[in-house]
Amino acid sequence: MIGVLQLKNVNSGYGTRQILYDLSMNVKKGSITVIIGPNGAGKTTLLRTIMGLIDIYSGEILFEGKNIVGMPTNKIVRLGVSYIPQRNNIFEELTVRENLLMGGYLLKKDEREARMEEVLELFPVLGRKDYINRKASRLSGGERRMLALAKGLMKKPKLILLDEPTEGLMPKLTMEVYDKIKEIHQETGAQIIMTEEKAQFALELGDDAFLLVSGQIQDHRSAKEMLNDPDLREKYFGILGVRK
Amino acid sequence: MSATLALAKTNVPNFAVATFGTIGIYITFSCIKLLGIGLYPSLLFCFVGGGLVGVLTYIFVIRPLRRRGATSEEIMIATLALDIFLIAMLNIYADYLTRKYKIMARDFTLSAYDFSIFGLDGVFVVSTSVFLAVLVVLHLIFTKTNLGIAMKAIGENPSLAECDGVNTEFLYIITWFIVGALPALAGAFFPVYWMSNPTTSMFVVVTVFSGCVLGGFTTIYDAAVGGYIVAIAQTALVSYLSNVVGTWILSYGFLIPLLIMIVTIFVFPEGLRSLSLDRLLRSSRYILTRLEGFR
Repeated sequence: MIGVLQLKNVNSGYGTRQILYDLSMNVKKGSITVIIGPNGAGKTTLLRTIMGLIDIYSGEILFEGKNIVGMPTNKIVRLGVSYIPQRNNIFEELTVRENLLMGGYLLKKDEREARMEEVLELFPVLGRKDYINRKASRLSGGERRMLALAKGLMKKPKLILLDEPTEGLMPKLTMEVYDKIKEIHQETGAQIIMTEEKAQFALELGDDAFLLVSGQIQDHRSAKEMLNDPDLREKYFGILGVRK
Repeated sequence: MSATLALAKTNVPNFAVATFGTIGIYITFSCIKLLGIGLYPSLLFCFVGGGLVGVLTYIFVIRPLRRRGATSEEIMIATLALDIFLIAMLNIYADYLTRKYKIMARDFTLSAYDFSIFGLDGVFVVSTSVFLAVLVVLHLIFTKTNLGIAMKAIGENPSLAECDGVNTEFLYIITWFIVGALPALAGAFFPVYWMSNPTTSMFVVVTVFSGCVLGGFTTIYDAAVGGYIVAIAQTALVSYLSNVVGTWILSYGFLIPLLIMIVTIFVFPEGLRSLSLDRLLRSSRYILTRLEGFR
């Protein structure tokens, strides 16, 4: 089955430092795809490669059948891809409202206002009077993640790339973020690709999963199968975080 | 305002800003002497011409260096080199005008082309009006338009702005158009009062950066306030001192903005915005104590 996003023999890295090696992936339509792997495996590099933020040495990346290699990032976004980076994913000097407006930068003015109302229904806290005009730098860690998600949703994306959305968050907040991701997937029908170090949490949420180690795909199965694989648990979940 | 805009929105400390002003001087001079256009209609040519110089600076100097991974400091040095290059080009242009058209293109003033209204010099009325208009237009752009918010965003995190669909290259070009156009506009007013030549920027640059430092290099409003304070302080103090100690002091007028810059950097390096009344009083007391000790 041809997926919404296909990577074919992708080699990429930073300048002369290669990070991803001959990487091929087929991401199924309508699923939540989880990419797990230890620290330094190349998860962030993979998402940045898809977004055109990193040099691609060779290979093809097809989004809805169109090769997006060499395309400027802002044009990839225009195709319906939303990327929420792991860090620095909001504009701290802008207000919550301005951040959301930036998220909907490509929409027409009326459409943007309407979209903001829709998005704020999913994130009611951000829409509160005391929050909407608050500078993003004054938000807590959890609120910032929620703002980053809301900002990403403003684009009406077909595909959302989430880079470690719960990094550094307490378990309770981690679950809140996961619940929100599930809700977004159900409400919007957007395809989600998510990288995570907290493997168990992410695999419980996902449909499809890839294991990335040293810039190469080591395993690809359904998230449930990977979650229940004792060998994988022993090898990786120890360092990736198992819920006791 | 231009230097602050370049630093805050594109992360470039632009040392060629004062020479962009000299380009404005020569555009006005050329419009009047060669095309027979009046002093104030030539403002339009200054705006467009200065803007184009800003855009060319971005395309041929800033962007290639950025793509090669140059740091802000390296780009700053490049703008110093650009400054020297532009001054050289202006000298060549001045010589060309003199030889080709037999016009004195050095040490000139354009006061003869000004007008008077209700006892006020036209330049005072027009420059103040243009300044206010520019401030209001920029304020509206930055706060009310999608483009303005995107400009603020690229100043903070260009990569994230690109991920929001912003064509950052296009915005940098617009920003550099403004960065070039503003000093060129200001330059058009300069020769009405002061003697001008291709190296005028060398005498103005200290005043320009003193205003920016006092403003705190953060927003155009702070830069505008800083610029006004420095300019008024320089004019008033030099005028006062020339009456007291003699006209020889006029040659040392640039020391006043230099002094303001030094005091700002040592006492409140983040500029006016960081000042509270309490801090201002404490700073004044500190300076007075040091001065008394010195005496």
